[in-house]
Amino acid sequence: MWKLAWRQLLRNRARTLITGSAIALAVAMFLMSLALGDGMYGKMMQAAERSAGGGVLIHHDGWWKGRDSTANITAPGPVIAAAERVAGVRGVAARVILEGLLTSASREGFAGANVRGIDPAAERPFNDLSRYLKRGDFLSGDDPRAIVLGEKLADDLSVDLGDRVVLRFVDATGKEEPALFRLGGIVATGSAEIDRQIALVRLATAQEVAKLGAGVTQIGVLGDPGEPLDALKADVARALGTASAGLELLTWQEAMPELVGFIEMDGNMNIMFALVIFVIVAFGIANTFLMSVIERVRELGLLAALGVTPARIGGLVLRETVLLALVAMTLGFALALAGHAYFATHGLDYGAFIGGDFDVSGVIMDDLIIYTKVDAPRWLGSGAAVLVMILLSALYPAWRATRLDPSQAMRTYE
Amino acid sequence: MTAATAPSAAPDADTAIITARDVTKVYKQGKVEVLALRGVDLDVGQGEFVVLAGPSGSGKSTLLNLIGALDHPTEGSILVAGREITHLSRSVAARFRLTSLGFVFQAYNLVPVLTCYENAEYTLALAGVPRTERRRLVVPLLERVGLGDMLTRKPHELSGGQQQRIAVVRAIASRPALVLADEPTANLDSETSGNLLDLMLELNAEHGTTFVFASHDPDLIARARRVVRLKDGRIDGDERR
Repeated sequence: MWKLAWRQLLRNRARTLITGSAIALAVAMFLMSLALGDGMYGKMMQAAERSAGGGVLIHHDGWWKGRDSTANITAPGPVIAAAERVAGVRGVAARVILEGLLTSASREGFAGANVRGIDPAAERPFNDLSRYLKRGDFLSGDDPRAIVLGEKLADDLSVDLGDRVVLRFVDATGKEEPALFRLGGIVATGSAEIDRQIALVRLATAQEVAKLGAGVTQIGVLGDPGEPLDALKADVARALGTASAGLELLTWQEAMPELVGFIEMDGNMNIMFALVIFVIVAFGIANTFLMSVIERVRELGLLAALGVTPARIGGLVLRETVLLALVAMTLGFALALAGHAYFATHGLDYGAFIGGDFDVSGVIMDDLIIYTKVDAPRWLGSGAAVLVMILLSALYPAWRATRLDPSQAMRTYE
Repeated sequence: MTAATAPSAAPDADTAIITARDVTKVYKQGKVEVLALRGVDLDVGQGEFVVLAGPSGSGKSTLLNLIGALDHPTEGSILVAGREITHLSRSVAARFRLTSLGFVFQAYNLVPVLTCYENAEYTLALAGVPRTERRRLVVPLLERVGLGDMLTRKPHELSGGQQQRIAVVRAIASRPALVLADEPTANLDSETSGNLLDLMLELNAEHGTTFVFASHDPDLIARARRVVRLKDGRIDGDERR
């Protein structure tokens, strides 16, 4: 029966070639989309990690939930030093994050804002926003009260370089205080959402206006890209030792689960899209084999008349499907592996397709050269799922073949 | 091939291989019921060479299909080789055909993707006969019908007569008790048709295989030892020679 099935496939070579090519290309595209998706996922997670301020975020216990400056790390020095000693750590940055209301001095505009006091040099390994400076300077001028705003936030406040802005916030003493800044630089990332969130001042200035002294509200730790965050967190906690008392260590994924969820949802959407393609291909396969059964009514009727049971006739159609699927899927896997061999080293410039950077839920994706990643179990699992789908698509034609009445079938085309 | 002489294996009309009683077959064509057979009784003995003759629509092919368990009678009963086949399920009927019957059809007899030899051995392979045994049974038969040097050819490379000879070899290779042939010579010229008939007569004589044909080929009818004539779904005559 296998021999018969194989020869049936070779008999109508054009149809077999077209159907097989459709399966092979769909499999190759599906696997490549998985490989690119995994590569993109890795990039997004790294970008999100940098954007979040590090793989591990250290706060005074309770600050993350309340954002209350009274709960600050009063002696960040030993904490920073300990974090810097952890193997593989690429950057440690102390920050002061002040939540409040920004208004222009002329009161023409206002906006809720997280003003971040940063050390630009320390932030460079994390999320170097100085790359997006459009006008002015990036906290490098003489004015200690300089503030850098995103372009959209500056527009919302109706301020321009040199204009004054006021932050109303609660300082470390628990008092609501206004702090005056002057717009020293404007950055434009290309994302309106992100450009509405950027408000940066010098770390020392933020400490001063918030009456924090040497205290900071957050210390971000950036590890190796491939290192699991839980391991980094454990290493940092170990390095801190007793200094970790009263501190809360969170991986960025713990701190921002909604961002993780969004990135994962984005990946799942890609898989769903690929599956939709496959469902369409499956209907094509079902149609092809149904046509094949209808064309061979007389021939299948002959087999039935000679003593082939209905189950074996249905099995013949399924065997043809299995053979075609296996050959085509092998070709599809080979094509996908060839694609992976190229794109894993050369990368795919995703930015060229979408015309520049983009953001995902507030995370700037500026490094859009995507390198494919092969997750072998996922590929094999997907291959098995595709095979099952192809077999399911052949069930109806096979069932139709089992229902052939040999006496009727033998009369067909007489 | 020469015309067959008198058979060495005499038919045993007392040992019925086919017993059909009061067989009626009604087809539905849309809302119209067509009475193809009307209470047919037929007995065929072991080793007979019988032609079911009659014009188109007389019911001869219908009767042949019922005897071959390709279809169910609407009423009546049919015993073939001692087995009640009237209401076999499709699977059981298929196994019965495989083990007990040989078929030769008017046309499209062969599986196009299989070679001459593979077609001839097909039913043996289906029945699970080992490869060497199949070769031992089939090759001499193919040589005998003049196709010994065409074993690897595909059906489309053979003439109509050659294809029918392969079908005959396939039908008899498993030594069935009964071979049913529906208009086997209809698409052949008279010489090819005569040769094929010679072959079947020889096989009938040598092995005692019962042959039942449905045909309106005058040459075939003339050489049959028994002619059962059908008309309007009834037996209109039964002539033994």
